[in-house]
Amino acid sequence: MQDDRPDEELMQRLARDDAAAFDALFLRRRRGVFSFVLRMVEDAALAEDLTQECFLRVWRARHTYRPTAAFRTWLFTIARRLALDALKRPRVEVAPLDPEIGEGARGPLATAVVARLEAADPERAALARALERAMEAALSGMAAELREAVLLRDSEGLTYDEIAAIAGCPVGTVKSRLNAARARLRAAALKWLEAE
Amino acid sequence: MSERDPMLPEACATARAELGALLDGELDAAARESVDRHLAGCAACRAELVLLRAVTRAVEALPRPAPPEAMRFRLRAAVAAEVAPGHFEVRRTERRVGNRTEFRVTEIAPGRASSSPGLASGQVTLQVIERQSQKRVGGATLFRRTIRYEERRVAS
Repeated sequence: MQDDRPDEELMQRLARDDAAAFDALFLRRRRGVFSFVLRMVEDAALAEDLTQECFLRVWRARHTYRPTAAFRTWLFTIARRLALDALKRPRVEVAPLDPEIGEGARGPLATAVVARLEAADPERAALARALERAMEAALSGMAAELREAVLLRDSEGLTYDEIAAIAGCPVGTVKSRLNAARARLRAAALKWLEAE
Repeated sequence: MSERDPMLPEACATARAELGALLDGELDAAARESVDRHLAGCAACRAELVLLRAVTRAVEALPRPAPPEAMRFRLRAAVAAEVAPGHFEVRRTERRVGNRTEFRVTEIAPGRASSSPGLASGQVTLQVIERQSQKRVGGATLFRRTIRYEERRVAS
C-alpha cells in the first residue's frame, strides 16, 4: 500500500527506527535513484549495488539526519557521490565524445529540421524510440557533470537550486552545465533528423 | 545554448543562453520579459526554442527503470543485520552464483521467533527458504531462524 506521507515525515519516523517508514521511502524513491545511477555508471549490476548502498546509507544516517534540506536532495547527494566514486574506478569506461556531437548545425538547418520536429507525431512509437536512442547515446558520451545536471533536471524534475546543492556548485554553474549538455543533445537530435 | 556562435547577432546569442532557463521556469520576471521580447521579433530564436523543447521532452520521456524487486528484501535483510539491540543476533552472508544472488540471514532470538517477511510479486523470481529450530541454553529457549532468498533475473 502506498504511503502518502511526505518524505520528511517518513524520515522523522525512520529516526525512531521505524523500518516501515524506511520501506516506504525506498519504494517511493527507488526508481529515481536507480535510473539516475544507472545512466551515470552505465552498468546495471553496479547500479543495483550502488542503489542498495545509497539506501543503506540513508538507514545508517537516520539518527543524524537533520531536515535542513529536502530529503530528495539529500538522497541524490548520496547517490551522486556513490556514482562518481564508482566512475573513478578503472573498470568503468566512459565512451569518448563523438567528435561530431558538438554545437552542431545552426541557422537554416536548425530551422528546417524544426519544421520536421513539429510535424512529427510524438505518439509514433518508432520515431520516439529512435529519438530515445539518440538521446541515450548523447547522454552516454557526456562528461559526468553535464550528464548529472541534465538527468537531475529533465528526468527527476529538480530545480536549479536543488541540483546546485546536490552537485556542490553555484546555481550559475548548473545553468551553464545544462546549456552545454543540451547543446550536445540538440546536436544529437539534429544528426538523427538528418539521418532519418 | 552555452557555446556561442560568433556569427550570431549579440541579441540572439544573449537570448539563446537563456532559453534553457526559460523552459525550466528558472528566469526571473525581468529576464523572462527580455527573452520574450526578443523571441517575439526573431524567428530563428523561436525555432531554436522549439528544438530545445523537443530535446528536453525527449530526455524527460526516457524510461526510468526500477531496480529488481528483490532489492527491497536485500535491504530489509541488511537493515535487520544492522539492528542488533541485544534482542537477537543476526548473521548475514551473501554470494553470487552466476546470475543469481543468494544471501542468508540467520537470526538467533532468545525466547521468541520473529515474524516472516512478506514476498514480492514482479518479474523477478524470489524464493524464500526459512528454517527454524529451537534449543534450550541455560535457562533460556533459543529460536534459530534461517531464511534463504534466491533471486533469478528474468532476461529482457
